[in-house]
Amino acid sequence: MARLRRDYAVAQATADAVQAARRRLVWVLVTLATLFLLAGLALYLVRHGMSAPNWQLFAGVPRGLHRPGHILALALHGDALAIIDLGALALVAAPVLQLALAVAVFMRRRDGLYAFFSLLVLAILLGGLSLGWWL
Amino acid sequence: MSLELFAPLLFVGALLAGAIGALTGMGGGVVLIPMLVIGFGVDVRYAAGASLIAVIATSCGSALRRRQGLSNLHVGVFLEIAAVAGAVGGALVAGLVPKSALEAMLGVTLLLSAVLAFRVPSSAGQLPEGSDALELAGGFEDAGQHIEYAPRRIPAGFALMGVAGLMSGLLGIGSGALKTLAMDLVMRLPLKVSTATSNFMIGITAGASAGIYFSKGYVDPVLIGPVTLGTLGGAMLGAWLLPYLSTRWLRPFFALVVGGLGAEILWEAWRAWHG
Repeated sequence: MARLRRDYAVAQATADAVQAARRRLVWVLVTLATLFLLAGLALYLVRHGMSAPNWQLFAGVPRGLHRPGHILALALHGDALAIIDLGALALVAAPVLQLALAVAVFMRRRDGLYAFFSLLVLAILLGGLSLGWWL
Repeated sequence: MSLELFAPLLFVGALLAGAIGALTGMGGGVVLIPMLVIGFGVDVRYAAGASLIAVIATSCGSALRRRQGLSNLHVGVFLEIAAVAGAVGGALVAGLVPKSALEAMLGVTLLLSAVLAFRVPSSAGQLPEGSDALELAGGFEDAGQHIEYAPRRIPAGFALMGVAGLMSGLLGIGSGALKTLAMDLVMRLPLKVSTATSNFMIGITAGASAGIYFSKGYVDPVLIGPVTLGTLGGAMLGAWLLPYLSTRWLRPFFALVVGGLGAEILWEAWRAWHG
């Protein structure tokens, strides 16, 4: 029983290590996202403020705003909507990087089973993103 | 209405939704989506896209907190296998489902979330028994007491996580209520562990649908700008207010509101189906 308890302490230490690294990572991403969202939204309101939104009818967002590559290219040209999307993409990067972090921590702690499981989750997550973005 | 008026209204609405979600533990999505659909007349697919990004933002917000509670990383990662797979499936299917069917599912999910908010947590914390091949058992110190627990009914909990992921992919919610239910009621994990682990999971589940949502044109920048900023602020505001407010009254009140909105969306979907 004493041995088991030490194992729980190890598990908790791993969780704490992931949480601490995750906090630093997320802080950077949230700051980036907030800046992009604010800048893009301000730019859009200045340029197109008067146009009434029509969200009742679903027509889909313009195709240029579907893929990260296109969004980045448009944002570099100063497109307000693409800059807002860049903020959203910074947030989407959070779960991917968090899982990569979990894989690294589990591997360093020689927890092979859970390094594999987190790699599996990361693979499905990237698969889901690719299904939308690259296929 | 011009966007100069609309954007601040959306921001304030999302701020409230984020704060209510954090205060009641229902999560951002189930408050945000009915507000967008009923309050602002937004199509359910645009609402799902905005909510999905807001859910990832909420999960980021909870990761920033210094005290994140007793999340069990093994349990979170293991169950997330089912949840992300379900989410990818749900997001793929979402495009094939007619709007009224999506609305009907949304209505049922909101009603269910409202009912779950009234549930008395079992919060058992069972002692480990049998083998622990998946190394899911855990232990923690609570008020000077050493508590050990091991999950029960792992296949059932795993399957329920798949369903939670499916609903997340279909509707753009985090499915936090269903995840906590699966861990707390089915797998009999202590409530503190279930809640903290669910917070860790919802962002990853939501992230799995993001690419598909973007490519289907669900993610409207004009909508997500004010909504995401509002939800982020609201989630932080809610976490900050939490110690000062009595959640005993907030929770049932907003559960009734969400349940009522769910019933209305269900009613509208039924009328659209027959009219």
